[in-house]
Amino acid sequence: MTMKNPTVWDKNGPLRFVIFILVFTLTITLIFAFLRSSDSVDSMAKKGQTLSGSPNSSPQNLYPIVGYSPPEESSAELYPVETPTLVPQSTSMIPDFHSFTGITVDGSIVQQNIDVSSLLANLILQNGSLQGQPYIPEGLPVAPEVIIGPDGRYAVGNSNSDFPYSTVARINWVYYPGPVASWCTGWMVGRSTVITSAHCLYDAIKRPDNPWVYDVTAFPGYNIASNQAVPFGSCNFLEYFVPNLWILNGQPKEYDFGYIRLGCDIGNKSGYLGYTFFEGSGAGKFLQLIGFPQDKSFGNEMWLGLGSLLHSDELFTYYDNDTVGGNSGSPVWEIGYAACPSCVLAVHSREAIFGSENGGPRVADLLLAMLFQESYYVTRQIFLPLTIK
Amino acid sequence: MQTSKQNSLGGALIFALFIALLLVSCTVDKITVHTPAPTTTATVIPGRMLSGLVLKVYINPQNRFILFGVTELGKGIREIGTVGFQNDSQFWKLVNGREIRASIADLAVGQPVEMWFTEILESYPWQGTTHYVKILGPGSIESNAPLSTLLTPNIQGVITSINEYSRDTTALQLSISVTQPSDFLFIEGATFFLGKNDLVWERSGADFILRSTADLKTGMTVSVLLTDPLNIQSPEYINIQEVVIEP
Repeated sequence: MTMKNPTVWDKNGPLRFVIFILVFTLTITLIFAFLRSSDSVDSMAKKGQTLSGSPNSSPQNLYPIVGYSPPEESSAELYPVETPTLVPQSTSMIPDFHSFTGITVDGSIVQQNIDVSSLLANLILQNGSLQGQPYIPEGLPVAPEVIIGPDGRYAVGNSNSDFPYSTVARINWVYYPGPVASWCTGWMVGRSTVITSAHCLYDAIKRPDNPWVYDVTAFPGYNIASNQAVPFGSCNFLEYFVPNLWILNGQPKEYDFGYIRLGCDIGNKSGYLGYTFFEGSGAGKFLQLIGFPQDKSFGNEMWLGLGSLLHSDELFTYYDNDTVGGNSGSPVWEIGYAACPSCVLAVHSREAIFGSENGGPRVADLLLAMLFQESYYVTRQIFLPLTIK
Repeated sequence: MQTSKQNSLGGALIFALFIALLLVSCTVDKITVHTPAPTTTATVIPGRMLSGLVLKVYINPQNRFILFGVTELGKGIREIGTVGFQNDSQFWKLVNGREIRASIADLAVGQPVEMWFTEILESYPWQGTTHYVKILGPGSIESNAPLSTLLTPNIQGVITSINEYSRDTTALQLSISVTQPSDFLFIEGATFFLGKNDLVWERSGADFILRSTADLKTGMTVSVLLTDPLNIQSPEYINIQEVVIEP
C-alpha cells in the first residue's frame, strides 16, 4: 500500500468542498436572478402587463396600436448626431418604454417613439445647453417679470394677453361616466402643442375600461377677470399622448406629464414658453407657478403663485408654491433666471400632503426630450379656432 | 477524529449557506412590509384625512372609484374629487360606536365618510387614491333620507324632456324648465345629466319614498341637487346628484 504525498488540497479537503459549493451556489443564484429580471421587464412589457401591480389592464389589450409616423418637422430627423451621456440615465435601463401612447380625434390609439439620447444631443447642438428658449410673437406685449416678493398667490388680471401669461392655457376635458366636466392647466411649448399632466388625459386606475378623457380644448391666456377673457380663441385637440411609463408602470408621479397636439397653430399668436434642465437639487430657487385654481371663480381666473424650490429627486421636484385643484399642468419656472427667462423647469401635478410641499415632474430626461421634439411640431390639419362669445 | 469533526462542521456550514442563498434568491422581490391592522380610532393613520359625503359610486367591472364631496360645516360641499382605491385599502364602518371591518362593497351614496390620502392630484375635480376609509354613518337608502335633507337643492323646475344619452349608455339627459333658481344659478332652463342608477325620491308629506329614474315623466315638478354646483361654468355638462319629485 503506497501513500502519495498529501497536497494542499488533500490537506484541506473541507476547504476545497466549501469553495466548490460556493462557486456552484453563486452561479445558480446569478442565473436565477438573470432569468427573473429579464422576465419581469421584457416579457411583462410585451404582454402589456403592469410592472407594479396596477392598473390591471393595459391599453394594448383594449385598443389596436396602429402605425404612426412622426411629423415631417420632427427635429430628430433634422439633427442626427451621435449619442452622448447628458442627463441622469436611470430610466434608460428600459429604453423600450421611452415612448408615448396617444389617442387621436377619431379614437385611434397610436404610438409615438422618442429617442431621448438623440433628441438631447440635438438640443445641446442647437442651443449649447439643455434648454430651449421661449418664443414671443412680434407685437405681443411682454409683461414685466415678477419681482421676488412674499410667497402667495396673485391675480394675473389684464396681463393675461401679455407674454408669458398668454402662453398659459386652461384645458377643458370631460370624462365618463357622467359626463363630468373637468379642467387642468396647460402651457404652449410650440405653435401647435400644449403640455399638461398625464392624469388630466389618462387614468386607468379608476377607469380601467375607459381611461382616456374626451373633448380636450385649450384656451391660451384665458381669464374672465380680464377685459379680454379669451384673447386668442381656443383650439380643439387632434391627438394627445402620455408616456408609456405612465400607462404601464402604475401611473408614477415622475411621469405625470403629457402633450396635446392641437388642430391649429394658436401658439403663433400666444407665443410659447421655453424649458430648462437644472443641475442638482435646485433648492432655494425662487419660483412662479401659473394656472387656474378652482377656488378662484371655479378655475375661470388665471393666478400666479410665488414660492421656493425645496428639493428635487432625479425626475421630480418639490416646492412650496400654493396650489389647489385645477393647477395640474401649470408651468413652474425660476424668476430672474437671465439665461433662459420664462423657461419651465417643472410641470405641476400634485399636492404632497405632508407639510406644505407641492411638486411635479422636473424637466429632465424623457420630459426634456419630449419638449424639444414638440417645440417643432406643426399641426398637420388646420381647423378654424373656436371663439367664446 | 479531528478531521472528521472538521468535515461534519464544514458540511453543516455549507448546507446552511446553500439554503440561505437559495432562499434569498427566491424571495428577494416578495418582501413585504406588514403593518399591523388598526383596530381602534387611536391608531395613527398616515396621510391627511378629508371628510365629506359619498356622492356617486362607480364600483363595477368598468370603473373603480367614487365621486367624493368634501364638506365644510355650514357651507355644504366645498369641492369634489374622484377617489380610487388601492388593492390593500382598508375599510372600516362605525356601527353603534364601534368600528368594524367593512369592504369596498359597503360604500353607498350619501354616506358621511373620512378618507386618508398621501397626495392629491390637482386637476378639477381633484384625483386621489385612498388607503384608509372610515364610513361614519348610513347612506341615503339605508337611512331613507335623501341628501336633499342635508344639502339645499340647487333648482326646482318642470321636466320638459327625458332622453337617452348617446355617448354614455348609463346616463339620461333631462331637460328642465326652471321655476325656482338658486342664489347663484340663474338659468331658465338647462339640460342635465342623470345616471340611470342615481337616486330619485318622491316627497310624501314629511317623508320620502324611494323611486327610480324610470318613474320620472315629463311635466313632473322636481327639486334637483347638482353633483357639482361649482362647475356651472361648463353648462354643457351639468350633473344631477339627486332628484326629488315634488307633489
